[in-house]
Amino acid sequence: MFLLKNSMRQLFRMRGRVVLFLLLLTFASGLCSVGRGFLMINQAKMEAYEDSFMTIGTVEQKAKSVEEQMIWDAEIKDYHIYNRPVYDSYVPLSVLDFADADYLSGPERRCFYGAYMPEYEMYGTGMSLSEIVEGSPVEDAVPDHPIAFKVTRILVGQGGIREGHIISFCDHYNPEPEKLYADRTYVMSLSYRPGHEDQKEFEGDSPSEYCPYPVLGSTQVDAAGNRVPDEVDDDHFCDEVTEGFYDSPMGRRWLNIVAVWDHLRHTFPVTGTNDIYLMMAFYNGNAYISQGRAFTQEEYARGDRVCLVSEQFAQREGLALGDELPLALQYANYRRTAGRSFTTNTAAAFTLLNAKGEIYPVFEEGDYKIVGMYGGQSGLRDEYGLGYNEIIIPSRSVKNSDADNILESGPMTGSNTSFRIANGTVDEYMEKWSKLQIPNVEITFYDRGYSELEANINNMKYIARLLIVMGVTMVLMVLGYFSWLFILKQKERTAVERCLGFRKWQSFVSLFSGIFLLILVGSVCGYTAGGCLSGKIAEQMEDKSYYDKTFGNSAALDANSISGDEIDIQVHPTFAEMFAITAAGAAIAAAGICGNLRKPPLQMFEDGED
Amino acid sequence: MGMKMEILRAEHVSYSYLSKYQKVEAVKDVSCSFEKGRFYAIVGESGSGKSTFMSLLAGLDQPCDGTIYVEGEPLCGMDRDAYRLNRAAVVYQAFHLFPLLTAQENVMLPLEFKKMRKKEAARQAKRLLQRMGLESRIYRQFPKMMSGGEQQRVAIARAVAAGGEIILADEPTGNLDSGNEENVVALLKELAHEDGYTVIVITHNQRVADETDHVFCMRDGRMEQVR
Repeated sequence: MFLLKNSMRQLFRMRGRVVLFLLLLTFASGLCSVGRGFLMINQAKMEAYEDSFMTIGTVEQKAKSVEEQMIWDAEIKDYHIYNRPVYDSYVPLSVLDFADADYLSGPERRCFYGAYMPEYEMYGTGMSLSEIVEGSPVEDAVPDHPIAFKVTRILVGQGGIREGHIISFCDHYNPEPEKLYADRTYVMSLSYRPGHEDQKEFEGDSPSEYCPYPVLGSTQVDAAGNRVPDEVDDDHFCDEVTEGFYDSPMGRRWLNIVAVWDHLRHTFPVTGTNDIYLMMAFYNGNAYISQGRAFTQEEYARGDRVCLVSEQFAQREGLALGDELPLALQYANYRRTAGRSFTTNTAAAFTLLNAKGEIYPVFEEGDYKIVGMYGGQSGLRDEYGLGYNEIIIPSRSVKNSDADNILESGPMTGSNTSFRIANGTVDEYMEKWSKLQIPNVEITFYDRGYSELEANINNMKYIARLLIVMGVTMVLMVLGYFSWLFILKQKERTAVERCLGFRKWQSFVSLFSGIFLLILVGSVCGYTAGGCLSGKIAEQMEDKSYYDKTFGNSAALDANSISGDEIDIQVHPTFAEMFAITAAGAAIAAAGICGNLRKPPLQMFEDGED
Repeated sequence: MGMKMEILRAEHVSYSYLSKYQKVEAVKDVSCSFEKGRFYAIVGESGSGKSTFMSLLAGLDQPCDGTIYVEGEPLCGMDRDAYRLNRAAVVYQAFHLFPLLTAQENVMLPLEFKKMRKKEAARQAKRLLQRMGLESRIYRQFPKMMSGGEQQRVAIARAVAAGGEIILADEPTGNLDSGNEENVVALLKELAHEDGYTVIVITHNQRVADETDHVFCMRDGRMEQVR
């Protein structure tokens, strides 16, 4: 105790130096503490962003070339020329399965299925593909311009045409239409379009006409994407109705397409996914879980029969969470998205007949439990949006192959193929991807500004590390200088103590104890000051660090937080730097004192005089 | 004169050390003895080995050859820290007071180190300082504020406070004017003759040597008794 008192007494007789030492050490260790705090704050921010943002990549196969498609326009008596993309073949999804791809989910190539549920109605999409009527031209005519056509029977109608009506009919897109005879009856699939300019003379300012809308030919493809041969041409829209026509194969096909009309009213788009946030509608927040929950990882993995439905559909049909929907999947469409095909007031623009001319048979059937409902936009004819009344299910819940029920196929596009990778790994991913040199496949990443945030935070972390380095350097310099001042310059004192009979360890304690206490006080003060400052910074950042979670996945899980939320930054205190500084100081002091004590007192006197 | 009581004896003591460039034989085969209550001077030119010999007597270093006996007991077999604490005190030309302690605290330090209560140590320190002829105003002064003579008397008081029997003084008057030199020499003489200390002074000042009972002369590491 005497040694400690003696040490302190002598040390505090150097008040100026002691105060300067304490101030400098406080400042330096405070700098370390602030640097560490700043680093932790930014780390916390990064983790908060990490949880709230996600990075997805969408994949698009670029066309190999484009070809001109000439479409006749009966009004101008000339062709319109359109460019159509040409693909040699469709690049399979498997190209994305390369080593070290490190996907968090996906990649997945989504299709949508048609699920027949006679108990439920699509409502707005209850429109037919077209209007199917029987009738005859008023007089023999070639329909290369609008001709008068008397409708005698309506097989499928939307209310625009009634039996007995005379409509304008024009085989608008056919440069060489066949002649129609007034004494024959024809069955036709028609769609409405604005009429020709020259019709205004007879029909007023808003003339209309009906033109062919071929729906009889099947678009069915096999698993490889090749068309399944069909005896009916794609552009077949009309047949002459003769005695017993509807008993013929072609007649039965017409009756089947009539039945499709009713079928469509009860056919819902169903999309299978491995992660709803791979769907752009959910990713960008246009759709979000408003009730219940999203699928769990286990449900995705097991392929449980669970589903998400639109809250409007559920409300209309009186469905609640936990109810089950009997989904009977009939077809798979790999070309279009449900968002593009199912809107609130138009029917899907594709036929539901397979190459045999029959409605696709059910290939997968099961009751799907409603675990969540989504709100937001749907049915807006948006390639990347959700279709009207679209139902979402886990991909793996579809156990049976859809190979015989593929309605259309197409290339991977941004709206149907996507994957998720860890935030901040886009460059790493692209480096690996580019090595594969897959032609004509383009990947587009969406991280909603995460990369910029990350860059900013990394800059902040760099500054924090700089502060720590500066702090550590300054601590070492302060400790070094004052060790020289308090220890090396105290050789004479040590020598005298030795001459007075102090043992080496007593001389050591006599000098070390006071210095150690000073270092401890300095580092505690620095730590406390730095901790307070860090806390203030954290508070400031909490006050100001609002970020837009609109596009974050957590926003999508919680509709109420769409406008943004506050990051909860907590700087967890650690005494590490305090201990480190104290230990470093103690080590430096101990080394200096031991160095002194190794010399005999006389030499210490001589060194002291130097 | 009473009975001779030998307190320190050196027998064939030699000491050498390695300087930067060569081996230096500082003390060569020195034999001598010192009695209790006597005042000794060791004279010699600078570099003759006086201070080295004194550090050997103080137990600050060990001879390479030969033995130093303290009351017949070899110093090399003793706890040399305890020897300096309890039996031999050293006084230097440069005083070597603790600059951050007052005169009184300097004297108190060896007493408190020996676990004497603070009050008692203060009382004893005051008594010693008084005996050294220092005014009370000096007690609370730091060494820097004192004259050389005052500092040396504080250093002697500290040596005496340690309570030993031997005072080894290396050029104690080297930094003093003649007035102070006389006072310090008189003090050391008094300590030897009246208090029974064995006082060994290293000096090359003839006036100081003249005041002592015995004089040894060191020349080139060897010692001979002059008187």
